[in-house]
Amino acid sequence: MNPLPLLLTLSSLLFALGLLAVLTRRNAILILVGIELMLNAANINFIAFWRYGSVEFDLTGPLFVMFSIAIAAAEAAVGLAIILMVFRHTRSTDLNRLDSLHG
Amino acid sequence: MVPLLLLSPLILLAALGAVWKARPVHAALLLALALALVAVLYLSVGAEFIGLVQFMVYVGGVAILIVFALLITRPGDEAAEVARRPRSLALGLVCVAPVLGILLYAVSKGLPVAAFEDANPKLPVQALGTELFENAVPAVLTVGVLLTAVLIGAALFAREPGPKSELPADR
Amino acid sequence: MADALQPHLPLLLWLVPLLPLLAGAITAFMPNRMGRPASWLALGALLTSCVIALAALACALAPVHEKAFHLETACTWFSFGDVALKVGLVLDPLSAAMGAMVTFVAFWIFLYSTGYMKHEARFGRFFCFLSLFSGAMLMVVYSNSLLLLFMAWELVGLASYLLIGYYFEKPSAAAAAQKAFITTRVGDMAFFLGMIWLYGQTGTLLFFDHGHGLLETDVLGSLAGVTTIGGLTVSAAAALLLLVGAMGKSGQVPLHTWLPDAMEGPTPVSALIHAATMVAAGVFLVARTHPIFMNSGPTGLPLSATAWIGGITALYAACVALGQNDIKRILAYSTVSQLGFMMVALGTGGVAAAMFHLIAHAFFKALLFLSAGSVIHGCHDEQDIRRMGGLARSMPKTFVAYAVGMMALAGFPFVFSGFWSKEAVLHSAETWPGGHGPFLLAATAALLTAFYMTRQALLVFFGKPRNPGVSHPHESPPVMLVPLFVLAAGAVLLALIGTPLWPWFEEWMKGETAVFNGSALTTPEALKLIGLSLVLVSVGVSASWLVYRNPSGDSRAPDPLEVKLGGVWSFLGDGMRFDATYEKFIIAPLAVLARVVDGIERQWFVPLMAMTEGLIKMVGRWTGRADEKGLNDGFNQICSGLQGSADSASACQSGRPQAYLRAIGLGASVLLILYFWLIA
Repeated sequence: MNPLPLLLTLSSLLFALGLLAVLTRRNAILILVGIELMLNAANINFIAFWRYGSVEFDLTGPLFVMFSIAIAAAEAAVGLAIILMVFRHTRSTDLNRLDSLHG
Repeated sequence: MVPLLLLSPLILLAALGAVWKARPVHAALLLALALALVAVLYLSVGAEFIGLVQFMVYVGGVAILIVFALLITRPGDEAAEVARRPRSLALGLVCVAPVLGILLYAVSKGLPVAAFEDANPKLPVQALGTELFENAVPAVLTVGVLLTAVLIGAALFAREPGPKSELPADR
Repeated sequence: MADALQPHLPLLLWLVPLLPLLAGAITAFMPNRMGRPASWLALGALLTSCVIALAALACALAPVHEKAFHLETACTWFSFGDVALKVGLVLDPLSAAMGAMVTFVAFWIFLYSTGYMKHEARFGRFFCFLSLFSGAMLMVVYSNSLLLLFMAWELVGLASYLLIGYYFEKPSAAAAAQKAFITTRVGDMAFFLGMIWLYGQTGTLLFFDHGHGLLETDVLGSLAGVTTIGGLTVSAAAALLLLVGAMGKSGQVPLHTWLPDAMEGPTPVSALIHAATMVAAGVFLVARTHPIFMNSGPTGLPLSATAWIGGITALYAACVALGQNDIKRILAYSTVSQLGFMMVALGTGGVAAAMFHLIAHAFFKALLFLSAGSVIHGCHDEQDIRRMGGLARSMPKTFVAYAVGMMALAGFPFVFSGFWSKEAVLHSAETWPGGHGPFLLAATAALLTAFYMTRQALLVFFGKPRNPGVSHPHESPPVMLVPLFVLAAGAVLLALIGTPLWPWFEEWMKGETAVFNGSALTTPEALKLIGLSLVLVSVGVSASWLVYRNPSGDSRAPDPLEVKLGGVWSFLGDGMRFDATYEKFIIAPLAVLARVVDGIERQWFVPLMAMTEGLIKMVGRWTGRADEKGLNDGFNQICSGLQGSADSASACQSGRPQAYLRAIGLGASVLLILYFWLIA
């Protein structure tokens, strides 16, 4: 049996968990955790298709993963810096309190 | 195949913990565990180089960064989080369920491409390097610029404001 | 020099009027405290104009092809359809001499003004108006188009209005300015009609246009062929209309009443505008358009009218001048009288005589006015000659200058230009085939001129000082005296070019070369005329001396003539009651008419308007109510509905990022489900 569906299922579930975290956690930092999970789910897909995909000697998947990781690192750094700024302003990282845009 | 079958539930369990744990620090540590397990997954499928990168950047960088950020900011109100959980979880699941359904439906529908047992058993690091620094040079350079900008920007954001640039009091 | 200048003349000529106009425009924007720089600018512009005008005169001295020098320019100003209105300048002996005179006299009067007006608050404004005037006057002189001439003519009138009303705080000055403006407007209306008529008949307003201009034989011939009401040719009718315009500007009876009142303006203005240049514009207009007048023959209606009006004006003004006590009003009436002389010369065909008298008169009358200004200045703004006297001792230099001007005007024989120019006028009138009326009028006027000028000189400069208020009359500063001497020199030296011995000016105007003719003075006709002139002057002067040689020491004593003439004297003093007559027969009926119209308005219009107003108000109230009830309420309801829905829409905007994320997630899911449903 080809392990590709297994990995795809894994990544789907991982993505769903990440999304759940983003939608339910109230701490802004833990939102980042959810985002990292979703990014990893995408990375797993890339690797899975590279490893068990159709094209031989193709490096697109790993290449994408490399960039994805780099950008994820950057995103995490900026995101955390922004959260620190917000925290300095409001003494809180609770997203429900950051509702000054409400209508 | 066997390592995959072993690793997948572990990854999912760790991720579930990261989502579920009320204490932010626990959640962050479980995230680190999940990311480390994904790195092991990469190693087991032959993409050793990616696995190592994943390990170093995610586990050694991002996860630790998150832990530090949690330590700097005030710990959240866990009791309130737990008390609100049923409602927020219900709302979250309402949104997540369709997404998951679609993804699983797509997986079960079968693949648009033919699958091979061993299309690329090993990741050729030299070829990857050649690819990166020959064909993908613009992208590499762009990412380099991006990372530099992030370095400076994050440092500026996170800097303790001096007495002069003290921002106005909270609302 | 003349040859080198010639190719540039058409452009340079434009500079002559434009430079002062430009200076006027610039000084108009200079604040009052910059009066000094403004006067320098005006002086500089005028000096440049003067230099160019003199250079143009030098160019125009030489005859070309056995004819008088002639240079014309014309360019299209604007065109509508096939009709093009052209404007241009013309340089011929007439405009060259006049332009040189205007710039020269104006320059010295400007210089004099810097001294005379020194203490005025609106010093710069004064020079702005003067520059405007000079530029416009020069445009009148050099214009090659009746239209351009008319526009400049109106500008000159405007400048005159502004300058007469310079002391607008004084009600009399403001009234005089209005009077001058409105009276000359009567003449200008006729001028305008004549101009339009000429344009309608000929389709051109250019004076000279290479054979097709108004003053050239083609057009004149065609004009003579067309007759209008009363068998009058169009050229005669148009000439009469132009004459009325000239009468208004040159203060001919019966449109003269504004000129004596114009003396309310500052004295340099009286000298420049109301003696030397602007009032001569009417004479100049007739001289310029003389071919149109001539079209009806030398004794035709236009020229006869000109001669008779000139003669009547000359005598009338000379009579009235006898009864005046204001030093400037005497000179003003004398100006009117001299303008009448010029008209006589024009009407009897002596264009050159008229122009010679005009230029000579400009010099000696400007000189007289400036001397009078010096006297007024020295006597601390005293203008009544009964309160002067004995000034020859305290103001010797002014006295000398005044004496030169006075003798030139009175026609003292041989060395003064006034004698020869008056001689030329009388000669022209005497040889006129249309009758001796104008000649007799002019000769009587010349006698009276000698009389009243002697009276003025005796009362102002001789005898004992009769001024109780001012104990120390003082001489004027050099800046005011130098122009006096320059003008005095001009008044004498001009005699050289107009004597019958060497009639250079007259021949030059005709385009011929003058030859010295030593026997010209000894012909019987010349001897007769010169003898007559000598008799007139000596009778006038001695009669005046007999009457006024021992003036009473009391400034309130009645005039010796008043004692003898009684009511006639006061009749003369009132300018023969012209103003009162106008008041009675023109202004009073107009006032009655105005009152009637006012009554109609009060009785009829006001109630009508009130009714209309009430009606409109009622309609307004109705529509207002309909508005309130129908439209506004509807709008209010729509608005509150919109506001309610906006409130509910804004409630969706919780401001919580996760709520937005949930919405995005749901939306994406719905889209994906739809996608799979439809595709798969």
